[in-house]
Amino acid sequence: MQAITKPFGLLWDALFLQREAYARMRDDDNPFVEGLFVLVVLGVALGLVGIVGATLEWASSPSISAIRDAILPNLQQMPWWQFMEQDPQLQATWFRIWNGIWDVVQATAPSPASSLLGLILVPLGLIVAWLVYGLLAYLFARLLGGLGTLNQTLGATALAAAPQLLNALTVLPFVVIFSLGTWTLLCNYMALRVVHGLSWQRSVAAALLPSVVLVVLAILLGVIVSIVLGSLFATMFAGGIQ
Amino acid sequence: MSALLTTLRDIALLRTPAYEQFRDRPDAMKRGVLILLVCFLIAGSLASAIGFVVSVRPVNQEDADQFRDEFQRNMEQWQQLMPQQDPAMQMFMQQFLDNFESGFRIGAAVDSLDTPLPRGLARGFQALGGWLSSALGQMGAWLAYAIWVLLFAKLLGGNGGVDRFLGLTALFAIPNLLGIFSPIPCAGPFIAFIGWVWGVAVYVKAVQVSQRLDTGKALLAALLPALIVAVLVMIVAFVALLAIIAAASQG
Repeated sequence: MQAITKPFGLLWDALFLQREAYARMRDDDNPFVEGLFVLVVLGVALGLVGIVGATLEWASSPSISAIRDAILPNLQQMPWWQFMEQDPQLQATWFRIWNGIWDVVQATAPSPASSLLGLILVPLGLIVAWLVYGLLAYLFARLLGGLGTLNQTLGATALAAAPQLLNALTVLPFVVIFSLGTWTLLCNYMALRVVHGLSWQRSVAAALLPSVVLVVLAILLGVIVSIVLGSLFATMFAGGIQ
Repeated sequence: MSALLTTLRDIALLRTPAYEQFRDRPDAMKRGVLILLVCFLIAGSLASAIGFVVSVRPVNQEDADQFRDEFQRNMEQWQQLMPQQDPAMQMFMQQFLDNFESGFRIGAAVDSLDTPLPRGLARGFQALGGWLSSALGQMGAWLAYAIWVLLFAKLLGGNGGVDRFLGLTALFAIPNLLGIFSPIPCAGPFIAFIGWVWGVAVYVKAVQVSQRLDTGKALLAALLPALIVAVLVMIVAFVALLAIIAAASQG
């Protein structure tokens, strides 16, 4: 039992930027394995919390199909609907988009079944984000004169997932958590400072640069995806609206 | 408990020893964040309770008619203030009112839909979620602003730890307890505003003590992020205004 509660103690101290928590992880005999274990325990716990929260939210909300059926007759009473009725092709296109939007809403709405996926996806997401960020942070920290090893960097940056503890509050439905990114950045700053012994300016740079690289990559990916989707939609609707 | 209340009182009264004592606690951040959350939860409790009571009642036709009439009356008053409107503007306003009416009908229809849980319990969860989210949102805003203040404080020569800085600046939430009165008509928002201004004073003092700066530098560090954002917003608004004028003159 202590093996399960110990990671939460470490994460709780790391959440409030207690230097000792990061130092303990740095000085562990195998920080990488310890960090991985912390993230798996945290991810599974958050997955379980997510199931309860999503189920309660689902039970406290009307069904998506009921909402759709309540909105449509009211839209059909609006003046622009009469204009659209005169053009069957335009109406068919409208319904295609309307149904598409509701399909997306249905797929993304919280439900007990879809929340089960969180048991796998939450730990997996935490681990992938940690490995990518930790590797980049290690590279930048070393470039900036850091002295820590990759093993130590990964161990300490695993504790930067501590702000995810706040997500435990989502056991209650409709709770939204803000600024996790900012808090995570502060935890990463503390982790890199403790592991690499850098000045505060260099620690800030080492903590920020991986995020900058990832944001630039995400923007590039977004541009490519939107170009592909744009051309796909253009092909789809080219024959629909004359 | 009484020691904590004394500390909180002294911090609200800007007494330096209370800030120094709090700064030197090993759990300053933990304590500060918890105080911040509790203060914002208390400050938002009355508004959330009122919201919950209102949301439990189904929207009845009488309330809906009253709300719609009030909105239309406000729109008509606004229209009267506008100098001579051309037919296109009048048509736009009529369409706006029609669409508002439809939107209102849609809102009422969705509000009356059944949920798997009984309406009272479901609305209770929604109110609870909104109440917690509001406090967490204020905590998020505090954190997002604090990192910029910390950066400026460090650049101005500050030399305190991040955790101590965050722990102390979180105490700006204490005077914001006055926000609990904000739902009271007329005087409520004014009392909440006094709490906010008082909170700014606590924030500046917290920056000063946590970073060991003089008052001038602490004030500068605390206000610079807001000033920079304000200047950027003004520049963007000015450019947007110029663009609108240019587009209108071409049209």
